[in-house]
Amino acid sequence: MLGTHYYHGIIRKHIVAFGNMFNDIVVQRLDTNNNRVQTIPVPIAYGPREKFLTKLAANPNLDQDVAITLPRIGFELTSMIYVPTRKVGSTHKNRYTNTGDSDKISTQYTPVPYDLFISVSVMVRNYDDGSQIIEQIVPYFRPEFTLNINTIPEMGITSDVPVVLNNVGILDEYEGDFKNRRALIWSLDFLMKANFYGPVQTGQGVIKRAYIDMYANTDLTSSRIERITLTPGLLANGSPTTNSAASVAISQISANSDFGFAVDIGD
Amino acid sequence: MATNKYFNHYSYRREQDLVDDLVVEAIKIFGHDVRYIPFTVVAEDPLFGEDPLRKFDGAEEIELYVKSVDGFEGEGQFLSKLGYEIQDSITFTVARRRWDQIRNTNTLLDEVGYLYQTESANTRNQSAISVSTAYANTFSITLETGTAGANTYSISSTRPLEGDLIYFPMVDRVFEIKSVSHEAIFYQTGRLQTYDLYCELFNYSAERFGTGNTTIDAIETRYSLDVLNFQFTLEDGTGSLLDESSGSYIIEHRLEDTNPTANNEYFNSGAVFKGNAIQDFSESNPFSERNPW
Repeated sequence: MLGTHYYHGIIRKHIVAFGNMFNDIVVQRLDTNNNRVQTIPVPIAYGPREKFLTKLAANPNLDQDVAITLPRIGFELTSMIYVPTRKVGSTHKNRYTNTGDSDKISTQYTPVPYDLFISVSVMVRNYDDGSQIIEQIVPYFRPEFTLNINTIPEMGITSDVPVVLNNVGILDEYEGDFKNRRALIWSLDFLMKANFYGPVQTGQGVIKRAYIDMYANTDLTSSRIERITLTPGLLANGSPTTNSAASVAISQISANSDFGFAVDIGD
Repeated sequence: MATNKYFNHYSYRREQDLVDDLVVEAIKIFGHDVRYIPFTVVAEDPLFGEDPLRKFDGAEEIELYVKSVDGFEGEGQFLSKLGYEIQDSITFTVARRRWDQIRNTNTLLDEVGYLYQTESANTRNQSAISVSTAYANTFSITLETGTAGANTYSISSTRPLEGDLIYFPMVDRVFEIKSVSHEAIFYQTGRLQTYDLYCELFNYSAERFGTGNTTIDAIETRYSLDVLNFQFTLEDGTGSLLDESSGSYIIEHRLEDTNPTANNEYFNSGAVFKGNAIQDFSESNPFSERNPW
């Protein structure tokens, strides 16, 4: 849009981070003596996907003997909504020094806050399996659980992303005709407090010398009274200094250096 | 008002036997050999009314007629948020007489003058229209190999049960009986001859198979997510089994091998992004990144 291509994969990263929370849930089945008989890791998959690829992966030889294997978890991003309460100043910029060229910085405007609504479905054959899965999820959300996502690596931005559990529902179609299939599905509604970032502007030079010229009146054609020069100051041992005469050459001072500010006043 | 005593349509036993025989024979001609797999209750949950550990330990061969001759019913194959699923359904018809036979009762011996399980005439209880000894070899019912007269059947229920499975070899699929209808053919000649079994493709949830039939038992191997199937313990409880080159015989269980569309491994891998984009966070401590509880 507006002539600039960029893609940070923010939606993808949030989906992966979200799925990561639930990728190691286990169901255990006990016998009447409370001995563990089965330990079943619960598969999780992002729901929306290409139909033909899914079928080729799940049933490549058309020899699937059963309808579906349970338990399993599926989830999908259902909607996004702008959140004005988390908005920050539109004209503010994030700045980041390139590690490759310390005389250059990258800039980026502040992000736009959006809430991502994610719907999770837990399908089980047995009610107790579902109870186990839900009880492994719910206690972590009070009501939020905060993920730390490396959102924009090229800008060094890692985001703490709260994930809020809004609702837990149960669909259990146990009533009705015996011919009707019983579907036992737990539904969990989450929202992730995400931020979307715009393009990164790279290659901008670092300002290492600033002049302030002082005049007696507004006629700028007249001679200035004095000039104030502001430069970074850094001693050879790496310590900051305000003495420009003692400082190393400004070409040797990078944006990441621990420099001080040297103010020189002259004609 | 009593019915006319000179016409007896509903209680003439010889004719009922004949219809039974015709139903059995028709199913033997037009039916399919399937495996009937009864379930065994292991740890029934009295609260939720289920048994997550139910087992399937037997598989008896019986012939069934496919009533839904135009193909599978149900919603077929589809994709949902939960992945790929096949919702096929099918209706089978089984002769009550044959059911009684595979569950090993003596019901048949009392009804006609023929011993089904020994393929010989029942001289103790002759029927007026029973097959005589002279024609015994032409009788249409063929007994299962090696089971004549022997009490080797694993089925004890008096009727096909909801929750039992049927393996249909021709289509290589396992169906679960959802509903049994005993009056689908309504009292023909005053007796019920069949059960209709309304079945759906099995929703598999790591149930255990020990039927002795390698094809059926392979279903557990292929679909079960139970990681305890992969555990390996030496007799002395230490070490692991290595081959001559010290390579391990133990193969690590991958959930994706059993469930190819699962994303568990993908979600756990930071390598999907350049430079490990998803930062590590400890799932053992959800409230901060340090000091796991």
